[in-house]
Amino acid sequence: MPQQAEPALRAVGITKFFPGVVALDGVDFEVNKGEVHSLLGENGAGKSTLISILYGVYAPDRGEIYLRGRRTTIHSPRHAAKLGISLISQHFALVDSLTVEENLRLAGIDVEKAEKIAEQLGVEIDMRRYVAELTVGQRQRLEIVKSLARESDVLLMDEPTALLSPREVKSLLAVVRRLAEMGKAVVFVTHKIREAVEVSDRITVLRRGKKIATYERPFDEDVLLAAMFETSVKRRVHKAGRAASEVIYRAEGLRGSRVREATIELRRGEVAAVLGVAGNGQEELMELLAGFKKPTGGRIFLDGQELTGRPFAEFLKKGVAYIPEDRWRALAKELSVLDNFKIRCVKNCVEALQEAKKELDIDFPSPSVRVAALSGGNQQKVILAREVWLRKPYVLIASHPTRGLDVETSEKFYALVRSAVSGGAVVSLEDVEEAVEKADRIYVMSRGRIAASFEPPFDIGEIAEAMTQ
Amino acid sequence: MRLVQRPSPSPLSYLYAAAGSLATSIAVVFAFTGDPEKSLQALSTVDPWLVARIFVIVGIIAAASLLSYRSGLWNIGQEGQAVVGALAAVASQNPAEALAAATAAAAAWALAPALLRAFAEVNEAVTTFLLSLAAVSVARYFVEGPLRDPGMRGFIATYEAPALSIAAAAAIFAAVLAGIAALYRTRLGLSLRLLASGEEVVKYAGRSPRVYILLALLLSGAVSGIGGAVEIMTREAGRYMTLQQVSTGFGLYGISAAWLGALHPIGSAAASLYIAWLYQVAINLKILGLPAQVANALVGTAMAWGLAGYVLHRYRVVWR
Repeated sequence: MPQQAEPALRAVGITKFFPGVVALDGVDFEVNKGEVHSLLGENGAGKSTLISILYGVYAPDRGEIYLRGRRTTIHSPRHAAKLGISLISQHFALVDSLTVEENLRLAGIDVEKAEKIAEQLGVEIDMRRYVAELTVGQRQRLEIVKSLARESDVLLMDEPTALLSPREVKSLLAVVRRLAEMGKAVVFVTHKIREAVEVSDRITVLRRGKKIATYERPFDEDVLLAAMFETSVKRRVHKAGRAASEVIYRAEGLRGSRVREATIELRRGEVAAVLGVAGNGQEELMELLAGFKKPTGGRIFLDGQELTGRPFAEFLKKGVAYIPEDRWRALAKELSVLDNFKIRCVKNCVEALQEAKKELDIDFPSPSVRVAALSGGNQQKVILAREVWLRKPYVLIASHPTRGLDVETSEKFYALVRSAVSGGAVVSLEDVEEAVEKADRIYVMSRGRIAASFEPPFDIGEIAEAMTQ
Repeated sequence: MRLVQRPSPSPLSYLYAAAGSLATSIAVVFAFTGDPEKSLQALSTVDPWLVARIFVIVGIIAAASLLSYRSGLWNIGQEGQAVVGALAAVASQNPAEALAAATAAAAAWALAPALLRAFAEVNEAVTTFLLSLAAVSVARYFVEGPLRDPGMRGFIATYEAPALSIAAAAAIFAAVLAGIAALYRTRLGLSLRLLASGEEVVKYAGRSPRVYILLALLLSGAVSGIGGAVEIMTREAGRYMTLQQVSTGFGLYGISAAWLGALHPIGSAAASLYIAWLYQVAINLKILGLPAQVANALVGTAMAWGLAGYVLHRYRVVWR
């Protein structure tokens, strides 16, 4: 073996199965001391799974991990921390009601040492401020200081820029570069090509659980984009174009707390997809569109009639159905499958439920079993059965309706939407290919705004670019 | 030690809880008497009339409790609501009027916590509990003032409440249980039960969470009031309130029975019978010359076991 420095962290042939999916398929990855190595890919590419494995959250089904050249099994996040690996995620381990100094003490960190590290890193930390008063960026920098004070030498950063303002992104990227200069090994997870290019020494692209390639400086953005979406970058002409029909639903300039400006039109017989990277306001947009949440601005029309600010019950009466991203908004945890079905079902519910069970292949032992006891996929099917199959809505607003479903059931879902929804549907999705394949119109959402809208024939390259801006 | 949520709840846990409570009670009795024969006597002597009366009272208040807990709301002011119900009974001329007045008065007593919870998100456990303390003061005011019976010379007490037979009280209890069982089968009842899974789910069902919060707490209060009225009206003698004897403690017993009975109408009725027997055991101990507080202690442990049953119903313990 040649005498060269071992990578700080090396993963070989990592494979991870989740029920019905191969989340990672023989992925190799390594990061050196003093290097920023980005993991780039769209949602569902396997970035977070890989990070979770490196941080000991999941055990890989196959593959090996080497830490400074020695084969290591990482048992748990606590074990990872002991081995000098730390994770900077979107969820901070900070107590809002305590000051920065108290938080450091709580974590067993020497405050003076933390101050010194902050200085080295060139970040300003006011020890007497309450964490509740800090911006997201400041909290993140505090977490970075914490992990350095714990002598971590491998830093895993999972979508660290997702919640930051553009200015904070800039200063974070500078901090990340400085971490590398200090000799740390940094794994930077992102779906934004520009950021990866700006901050990285190397970039590895993942797509659908597979490693596509590792690229070194100088990077070519077009090559990276092609690698992220490869097979689909070729232009794809859409299925038979639908004859333009009349607009049945229109939301104009909707505003909420994260949604800044969204205008969406839905034509009869149409499935419109809202695409965007997590955390860009799609979930709130769906709530606003379905009337579940009142907008702070903008107007909603259904068949020309204004519904803005009306209670959700009225949206229901007009035939709007809403499938939220969080299942526990639509299902009562404490109650049985039958009781949950009865939220919308009025008569012959036992028979209807049994029929739905057959139709959608829902797996539950008896109608009286608690819905919380079902698997996630079956819970989702119960919601689909009730909101779409049973109700036959006029307009369906669905947030990630196919998440957690196998391919066959997700096909069935779209078939069901085409047959049971009489007006049209707006679905928010995270998978570009699914959108291109299933939707008649695609809206791309970014930073709370509808940034672009596309009609067939779709150009995946253009859509992907709009999403990764 | 950690608690891990069970994929599906384990109903057996309530049997364990009941067995645990029974074992605790027997152990306590043995510890106090220190004599197997006396213990047996304390455990086996039963006055059917007394047990029947306590069973009905505790059962009604348990029913009131589950009306709140099944909607995920923490009414712990049954004691105060019962006191208000008893006051209303004292002020009435006949049993029917007394029951109607008790229902209305106790529901009104629960109105303030219900409104505060529905419109200002003020924790209902705090307000219902504090109103229990307030109820005692209010009752004392009525004992000394408006409801004082001038006929009782030198003795400060209220008028007597109309009398009610145990059979009639049992019929009322049965009607309350049947009413709850029927209610929970209707759409209205479904919405009340949805509330336990969170207000968002009620909203998702197209209903107003506020309406159901108000309804659940008012129903719970009203039934507690019936419990209080039944308590004072079924006494063999002394169907009046005095300054010293306003609160009876059946609020706590009812809450215990509701938890031990898995928040189920039939279960809580069975648990109420068990608690009535514990009450009898405590009286037997008192006759044997042991401290009266043992009664509360026994019921208290029963409630602790009931809550343990509730936790183990949903979680399993992992020793690691």
